[in-house]
Amino acid sequence: MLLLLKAIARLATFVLLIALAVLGLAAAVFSIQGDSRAVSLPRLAQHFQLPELRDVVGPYLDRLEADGPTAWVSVGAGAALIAAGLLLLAGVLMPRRERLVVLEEHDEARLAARRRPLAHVAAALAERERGVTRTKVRVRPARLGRGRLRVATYYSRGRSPEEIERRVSAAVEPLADAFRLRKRVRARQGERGKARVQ
Amino acid sequence: MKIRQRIRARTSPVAYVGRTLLALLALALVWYGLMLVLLAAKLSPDKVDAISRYRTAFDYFAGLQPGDVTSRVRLIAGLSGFAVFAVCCFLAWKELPRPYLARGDLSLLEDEQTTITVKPRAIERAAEAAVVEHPAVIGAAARYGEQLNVDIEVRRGRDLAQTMREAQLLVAEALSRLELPALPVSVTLAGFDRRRREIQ
Repeated sequence: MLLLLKAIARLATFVLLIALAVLGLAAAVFSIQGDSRAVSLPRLAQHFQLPELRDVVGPYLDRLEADGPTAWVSVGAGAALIAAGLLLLAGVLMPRRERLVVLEEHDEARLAARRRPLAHVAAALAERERGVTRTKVRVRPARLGRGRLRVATYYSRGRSPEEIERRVSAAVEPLADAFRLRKRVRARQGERGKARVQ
Repeated sequence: MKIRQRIRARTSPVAYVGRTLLALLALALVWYGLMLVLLAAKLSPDKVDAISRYRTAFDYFAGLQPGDVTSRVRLIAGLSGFAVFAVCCFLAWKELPRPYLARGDLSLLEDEQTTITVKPRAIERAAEAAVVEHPAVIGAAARYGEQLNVDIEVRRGRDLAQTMREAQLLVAEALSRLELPALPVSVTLAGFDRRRREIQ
């Protein structure tokens, strides 16, 4: 979604700049002559049909300002403008989510990990703990600040979830600390037939 | 055969000026969209005009007559218009993406009679061979561009950070041993062999 917004924002920037350049050139060229001659600013306004636009916008504003019930069509148009503006702002300002989780970065050299193998490493560390039968790990790099490491761990009967959470949390802590990830560990009792035999 | 060439695109820092213009346009859309909603919801037009000057601006431009365009106005409009044209053309030119091939030969010496170059694959092979010497690394794929990227696959989850630092050091040492120029070396964890770990 953000990738699409960024592409639209880039295209919109280019189109905006071209439009401004054309307008600037037109204003420069049509400043050559005065009054209402062929290459004058009033003639440029006529080429852009600004008098006709004034005759449409003026009465529209008058109707909008008059007392009466809420003009729902205009409310919708205003809401659409706000939404378009916010989407453009998101496309321009929001940083892309990193595809990699960064361990260290010095100048151009970087130590980083892809999300899936890092999740596999965290799962392997969690599954070494006694009583853990299966884990599901999700690694989510951050747009700003720290990323997230979510561990859902399944345990065999006879174990307490608190104990499993504490031990799994301790097992993945060095990894989470090294990659500056906020970790969240949840323990659930394994379902019959799905768990690995310990 | 694995394709190792990469096409990258440079973005000029000047392009951010264009993005700033778009951000201003987006803010104007949000602001005047909000004013439109307030007017449509029958809020007092005087209050809306007081905070946005929408009516004042419209009346000013709607009331302009050909006689208002004096020689001085024409001069200002002409010069400003040309300046806007020049600046916006330059910014639009800078907005265009410039793709380039990131991978090429490394030139060690070049004079009138001698040219010494190292093919990128040789550098990549040297890096890959150095990294797989690490006991925790079972595979590596290097890519030489403006820097040297090495993707590694590991067999051990413990001490992953240390493994990656050591892998980076091994590559740097290999480059130094081969008397190649020091390059920025990036190491990326690209694989973890879970199956092998369980069999062990």
